[in-house]
Amino acid sequence: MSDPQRFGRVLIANRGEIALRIQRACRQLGLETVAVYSEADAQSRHVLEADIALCIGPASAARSYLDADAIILAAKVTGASAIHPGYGFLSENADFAEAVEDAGIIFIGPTPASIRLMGDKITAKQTMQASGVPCVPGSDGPLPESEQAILALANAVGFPVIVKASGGGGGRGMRVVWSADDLIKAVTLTRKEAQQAFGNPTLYLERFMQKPRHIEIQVLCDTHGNALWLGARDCSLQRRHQKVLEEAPPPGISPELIAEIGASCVQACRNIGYRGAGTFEFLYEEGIFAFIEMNTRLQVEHPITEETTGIDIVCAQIEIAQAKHLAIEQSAIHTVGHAIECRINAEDPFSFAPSPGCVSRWDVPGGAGIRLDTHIVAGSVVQPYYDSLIAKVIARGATRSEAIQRLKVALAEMQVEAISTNIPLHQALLCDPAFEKGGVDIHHLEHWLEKREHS
Amino acid sequence: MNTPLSIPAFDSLPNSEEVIQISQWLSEAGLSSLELSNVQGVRLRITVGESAPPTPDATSHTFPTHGQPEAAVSTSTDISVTAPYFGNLLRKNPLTKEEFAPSGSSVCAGEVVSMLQIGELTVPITAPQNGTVVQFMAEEGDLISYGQTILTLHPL
Repeated sequence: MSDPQRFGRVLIANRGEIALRIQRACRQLGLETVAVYSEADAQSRHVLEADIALCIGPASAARSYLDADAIILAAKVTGASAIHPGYGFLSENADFAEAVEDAGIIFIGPTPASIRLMGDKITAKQTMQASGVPCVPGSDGPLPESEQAILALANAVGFPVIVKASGGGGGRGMRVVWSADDLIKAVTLTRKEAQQAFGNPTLYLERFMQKPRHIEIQVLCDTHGNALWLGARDCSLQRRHQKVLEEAPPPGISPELIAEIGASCVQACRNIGYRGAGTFEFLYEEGIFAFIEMNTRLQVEHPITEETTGIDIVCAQIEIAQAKHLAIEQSAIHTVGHAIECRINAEDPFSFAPSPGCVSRWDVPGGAGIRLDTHIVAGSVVQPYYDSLIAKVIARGATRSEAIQRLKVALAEMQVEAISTNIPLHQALLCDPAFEKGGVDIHHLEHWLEKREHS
Repeated sequence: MNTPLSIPAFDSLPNSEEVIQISQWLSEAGLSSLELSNVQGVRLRITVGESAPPTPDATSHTFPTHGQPEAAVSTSTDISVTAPYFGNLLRKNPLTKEEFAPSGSSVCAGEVVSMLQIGELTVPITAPQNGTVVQFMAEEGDLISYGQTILTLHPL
C-alpha cells in the first residue's frame, strides 16, 4: 500500500521550458497536469500536452501569468489541488502563496512566512548571521571611537575595506580604503560627510569584495526535519545581473570549504523551518563567502545540480509537497563530474536585442552527456511578450574539460533559423582563455564584451 | 522595451491588390493568418498557404454602413461572441433552467446569452450587438477558456 497522495492534479502556473519541465516531473510521479496559459501561448508544447489546458487571459503577463486571482480560480474550476509556480512570475510572491493556501490548495514551495522573511534583505541577513551562515565580514555595528580600535577591527576584517555611513545609501556616503595607512583619514572624512549629508555620523565597515564570484548552494528540505544541500553552482558569468552560463561544481574551490558552507545553509533552513527547494546565493573572494540572498524557489540553473548529483529537484519539490520524507541522506549525496548550462536566448548574440518570431528550423544537439531543456519545436513562435529564454543546453562530463568539449560540439550542432540566438556568444565564451582556466569573477563577462566591441 | 504594434481600426475593406500585398507580408513574416475586427463587429480574416475557402472574394462584400447593414449579407459577417473570462459554460439560467438564448433567437446588444461559472462566481456573457443566434460552439458545462468562441451571432 502506498501512502495516500495529498494531491493528484497539479496546476502549473508558468510557461515556456519550465512549464514543460514541471509537467514531465508530474507525469513521472503519476500526477495529472493543468496548463494555464495566455492567448499568446495557445500553441505552446506544454499546453498541447497537458491533461487539461485552460486559457486564462490575453498575452499581457499582468492579465495571465501574474494574475493571482485568475490562477487560483483556474485551480478551482479544473479541480487542481496543488499549484507549482515555477520560477519568476508569482514564484516568490508571499501574498500569492498565502492566497493559494487560504483557498485550500497546496503551494509547491516554501511557506508564505519563509518567502516573506527572505524577501526582506535585512531580516534575511540577520537570520543568516544568527544561524552561522557567513555574511560579509565587517564591524557588525557602529565603528568604535578610538582610532586604535578602528585599526584593529579593519585589520581583522582584512583590506580593502569599505567604510559606509549607517544613514547612507544609493552609493553615497561610502569610501573604499585599500590600506591601513589611509584608514583613519578616510574614516574622519566619511564621518564628516555623513554628518553633513545625513545628519548622522555613525559609520560601519565591511570587507570590500573587488572581484567576487557568484557561488550558490542548492538546498532541499522536507516537512519532517530533513534538510539537505546538493552542492554548489558557479554563476559568475552574468550580464546586467542576468546569468548567462552556469557550472557545477565551482572550479577551484575546495569541496571541504563548500561542505562547510552547505552545512551552515542547512542549519539555517532547520532554524527557520524551511520547506522545499531553495538557493543560498553568495559572493566569494579569496576564500571568503558572503551571503547575499536566498531564492525561495526553483532556479533556472537547477539542471546542473541534477546532472552532478543525480537528484531530480522538481520531483523532490513535488514529493515534499505531498508530505513525503526525502528518501536520501546527506552522506549519500556526492557531486560527480562537472556540468555546464548555456542559457539560449532569442536575441542578437552581441547587441542583445530581442529576436522574437517563427522558428523555422530547430535542429537540436544530442549524444552522451547532453541534455536540452526547451519548449521550442520547429514551427514554434517565440513571443515578444515574455522572457527571451528558449532553451538550456546542459553538458555533463567526467571532468570540466570534457563538459566544455561536449558543449562546444552540441552548440555547433544546434541549428536555429529565422530567429537570432545567443549561441555565437556562448561559442565565443567557451573559447575565452579566462573561462577555460575557470573561476572568473562577476565582472568578467561585461569587461570581455567591452573589449570585444573595441577590438 | 517592446511596444506592441497597434493595428489601426479599418473602415473600408482592402482591395484585391492590397489583399495580395498583405498575404505576401504574412508569408514573409512566417505568419499563417491575420484577423481584424472593428467595433461594428465586422471581421476580416486573411489566411495564407491554404486553398481558398468556397466563399466569395472578401472584397466583394457589401460593407455595412451607419449600423444599417443589408439584411442578407454573407455569413462571413457573422460575429463570434467570445468568453470574457474562463469557467464552465451555463447556457441555461441556473434558476429557471431556461436557455438564455437558443439558436435562432434574437438578442439585443448587452443581453445575457450565457454565463460562465467559476466556483461560486458567475460571469455573464453578453451580446456585443443586436443579432440572431446562429450557432453555439460549446456545450452546457464545457470548460471554456478566456477568448474562446461561445456562439456566432448574425448581426441585425
